Amino acid sequence: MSVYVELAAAPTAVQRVRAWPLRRTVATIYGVSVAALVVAVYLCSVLGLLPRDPDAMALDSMNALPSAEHWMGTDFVGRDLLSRIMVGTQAFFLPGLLSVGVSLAFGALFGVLAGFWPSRFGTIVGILLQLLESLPKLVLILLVIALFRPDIYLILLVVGLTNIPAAAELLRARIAVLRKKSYIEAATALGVPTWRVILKHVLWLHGRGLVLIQATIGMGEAILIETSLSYLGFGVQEPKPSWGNMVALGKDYFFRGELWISTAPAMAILLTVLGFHLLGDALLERLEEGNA
Amino acid sequence: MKSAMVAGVVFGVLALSTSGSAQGRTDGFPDGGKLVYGEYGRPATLDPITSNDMVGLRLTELLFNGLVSFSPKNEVVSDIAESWTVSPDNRVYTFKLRSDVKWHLKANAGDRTVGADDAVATLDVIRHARTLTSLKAPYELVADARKVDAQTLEITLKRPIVNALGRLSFKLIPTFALKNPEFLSRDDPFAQSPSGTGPFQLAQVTDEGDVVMEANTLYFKGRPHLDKLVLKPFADKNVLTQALLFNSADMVVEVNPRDIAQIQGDKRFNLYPYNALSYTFFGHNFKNPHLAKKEVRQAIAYATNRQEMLDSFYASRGTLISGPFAPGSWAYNLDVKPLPFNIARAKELLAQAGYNKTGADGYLAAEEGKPLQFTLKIPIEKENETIKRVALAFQNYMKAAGIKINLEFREWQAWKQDVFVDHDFDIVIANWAFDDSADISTLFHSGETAAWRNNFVGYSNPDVDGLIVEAKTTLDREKQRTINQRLHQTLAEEQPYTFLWTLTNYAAVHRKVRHVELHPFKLFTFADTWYIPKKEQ
Amino acid sequence: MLKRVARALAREGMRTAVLFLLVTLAMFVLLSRAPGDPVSLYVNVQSLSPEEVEAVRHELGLDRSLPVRYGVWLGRLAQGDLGTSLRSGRPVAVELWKTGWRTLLLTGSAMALTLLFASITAYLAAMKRHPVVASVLTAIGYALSGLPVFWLGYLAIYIATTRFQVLPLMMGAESEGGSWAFFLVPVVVLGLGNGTVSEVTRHLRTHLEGVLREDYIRTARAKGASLWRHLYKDGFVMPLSSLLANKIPYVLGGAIVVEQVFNWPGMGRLTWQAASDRDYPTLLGVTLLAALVVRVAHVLKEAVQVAVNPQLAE
Repeated sequence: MSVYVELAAAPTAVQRVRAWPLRRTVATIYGVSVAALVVAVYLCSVLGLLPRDPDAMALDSMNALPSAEHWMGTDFVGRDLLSRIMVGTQAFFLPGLLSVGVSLAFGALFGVLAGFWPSRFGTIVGILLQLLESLPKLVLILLVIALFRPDIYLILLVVGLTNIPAAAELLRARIAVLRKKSYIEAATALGVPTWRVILKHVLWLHGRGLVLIQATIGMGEAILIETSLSYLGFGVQEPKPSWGNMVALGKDYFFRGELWISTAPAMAILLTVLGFHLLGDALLERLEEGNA
Repeated sequence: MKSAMVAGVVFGVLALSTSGSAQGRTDGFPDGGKLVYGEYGRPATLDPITSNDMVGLRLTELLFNGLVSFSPKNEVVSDIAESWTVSPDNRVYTFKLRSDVKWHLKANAGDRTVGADDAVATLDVIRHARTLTSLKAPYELVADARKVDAQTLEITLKRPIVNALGRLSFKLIPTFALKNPEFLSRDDPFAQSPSGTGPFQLAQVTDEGDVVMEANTLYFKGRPHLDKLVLKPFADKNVLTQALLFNSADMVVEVNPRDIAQIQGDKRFNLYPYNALSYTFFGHNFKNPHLAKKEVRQAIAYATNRQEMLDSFYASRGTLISGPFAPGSWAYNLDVKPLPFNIARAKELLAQAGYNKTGADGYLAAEEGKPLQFTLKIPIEKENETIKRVALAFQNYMKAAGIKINLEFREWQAWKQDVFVDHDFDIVIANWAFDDSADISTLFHSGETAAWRNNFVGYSNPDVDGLIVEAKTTLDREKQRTINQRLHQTLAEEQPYTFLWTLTNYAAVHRKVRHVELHPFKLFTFADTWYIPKKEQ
Repeated sequence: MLKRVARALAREGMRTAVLFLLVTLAMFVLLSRAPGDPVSLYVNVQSLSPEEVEAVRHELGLDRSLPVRYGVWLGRLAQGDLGTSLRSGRPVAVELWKTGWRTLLLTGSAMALTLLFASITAYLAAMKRHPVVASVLTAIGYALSGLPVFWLGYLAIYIATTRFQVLPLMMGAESEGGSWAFFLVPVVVLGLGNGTVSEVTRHLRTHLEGVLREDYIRTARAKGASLWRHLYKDGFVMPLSSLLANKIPYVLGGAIVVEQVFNWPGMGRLTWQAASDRDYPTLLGVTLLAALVVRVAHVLKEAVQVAVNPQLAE
């Protein structure tokens, strides 16, 4: 069937969303709100719109519970937890985008190369991807830290690089399916130049869903990695706050019953990662449904 | 503490009077019981020569003996050597060894007892080129060691030093049990499965890394009371404390300052304070033109509320220091008091030094448009949340005085490179640990500023140099003390470091263990006298 | 057919060898550029003269050039010798084995738990027979995936010590009061907290739903035959094998923290210590092992998928 006939018969966007199961709607709403909240909080923290000064120490009220003055309580040197949680978004936001950007950009490149010209590029790309895939992420990260400084941008760049194979594979598989459906042949036969086919038809029409999905899943992963590294002491360093190093600083008080200092940032991690996961999965479901 | 006389031949006979045959002790306390002690971290090796970490060094106290040992007050007492004489020029030490010291069964030595041969052989192994050990430095002053007869040994020093006996406390090992009897490398199985002469012998190292030691029934001071001693390594400090509270460990070598209050309230445990001869300080790089000014350094000291930090972060368990020695050291000058917390005085000093304009950001102006700021470099060691607190508090205090502090955390080895080799830092926070000699020559002498030398701050003062040299070369203990006190006074005024504090460490031991005495830093020196009453075993 | 398998194996073998070479070379180069060296393991550098430090470095072979050191290491490797740890003096192979099987046990059990949870949830969701239970489990799965494992570990210990008055550490033979049941705690923490539960569930569910719609399943259903036999190959084994291979790094990452908190003497601790000591032989051994595990997982996945679906062996 020709491309244009397919498009004409498709339902409108609103009709499609209305048809979603409740679960997916709820998930998408939550996910989108979380993403929006993260962006909002990030911007607020960058602009300095915070309830209290995140670096102001108060040695007389350390590890305090939530109160009128500190809505989420204070940490081990008396700094306001809420403000620090807000500033904590800066630890993963841009590095996460960098990671996602790198994996998508190169993933698209390799995916297209291997998908459109499998005979010419297939093996080389395959080997390159396999090499990237088998690099032990953990040891690489440890060495990057030792070699340079605990720089979260560098680390998430490395993570982005190791995620290239996944993105490339997704795209390449997509292109293969499209070829099976003679989609690409049809477009080329109609006289559309190859680069346009790649950019408009493949990447934009079919790829953008994948981009969104990779972005959300990638952000979720970036948050978990950044917080884990910061927890271990190798990501964001004091006095800059990161949800990870906040959990670490609070763990020394955990067994004494002062759970709040570790739990507040841990909940932030949970709710945010949950949001990104739900959004990504809802989108993925939608995409796969569209292909069934 | 009287010093040894210089003139005449001196006999030093200070045998510990624990009577008792090689079988049992006659002090009336029961044998039996097991003690599990928890440490943060694991020992790399178990022998006393290649060991280079604190956990390993504490362990070797249990498994080995030296010619001499120390009393709880850190005085030299006899161990394997029952007596000794010193030559008039203080260079030749002649030791007479006991004839009843046996090796652990593991060494397969049969009936052979420890003799002068073994002591000489051990020293040879320490000094062999292929043995990589941190003992090479302290023992380079041994010119020669030779056997006089089966139980008599003569050690000649290159030059006389005060307290040489304390320095000759190396532990003896059965060199015949080594893969190669001339040197000890880490891949020698002896490093992981050693034998010695100590009150306990190594039974096994379990898969989880627990080091299990059993009583040495052939111990020359009498069999130790405890049957078994187990070292359990932990990777998490908080879990270590929990292990103590939940009976997975009976003893913790160094309790977290935060948990001290809780354990003190717990009737099951006794807390034993011990003061390591160490102190914490901020080191100032003299290469930085601002820090090279004495007023700036003094201002920093006046502006830092050290008492508040000690109280808030360490529950006041420690002592503020005023100078370059630990307060437990014989060299500490008690007349010199730590500088008080006085922000006004700090600002005064800074103004005197020429910093009297405040910028828009609230900090004093240094050069055109730039605030007076320093980078504090902090090493990332295992877990040290309290150091972070100290750094943050310091940042706060400096802000109040108008100085901007940027915190920079560096990985441990990278930090050492920055500090000791490249001298690339403004201020660092660090810790010195000393032995008893109170020798600060390598810290402040102007000749010790090369790469990897201890005077990494680059302090240079000819008067101080002169005093240091005098203190090092004199053999008169009293004179040494006087000189050190003057050094203390001078350095307290010069503030090349901001001297912070010496912390009191606490070991927590289950009260079922009785007669516990701890050596200030080696801890287990007297573990053979500990016992557990029958009904609590 | 046998010839084809042999050729495939040979090709994979070549690829593996090249891969290992590149990975270890990269590691070697990075290690040599990092500041600091293992000398501090042995001596206090500050108390020695520069010549003495050089002597130590010479004894450790650190003063030779990079290509020489790499060549020597490769040469020994060819003879099956991974060298000895600079920290403990024990052979690296022994250290890796002693700690490796523990990490394997922990991560393997954890992954098994993840898969179990995900499989049940995915099955129920796909079959649409118990929608409430499926939804609840799915929701729990999502919640778990966002939980940071480093916080979960502490929480587990806190609950155990305050509610149950017990410290769930695997203490080993020398402690009384420890029991095998305690092993479950870190497994549960790692199995549910490694962040992949929801993804695995979704993946499985999608695959299952896809397979359920296939004609041959509908035929089997109409015939009243047991679905499982037809379902498991395409619905479970295929997606599981590719998932497993991809998720291992995440579980290993979580294992580092879990090992630390629960005092489990696995490879995580070993790697940590080796990295900060600059224990070259151990680190290279770990790298090799990690690359090997990933590679084996990949090859196994391919093998399983070809075995289940011979059409794939084009």
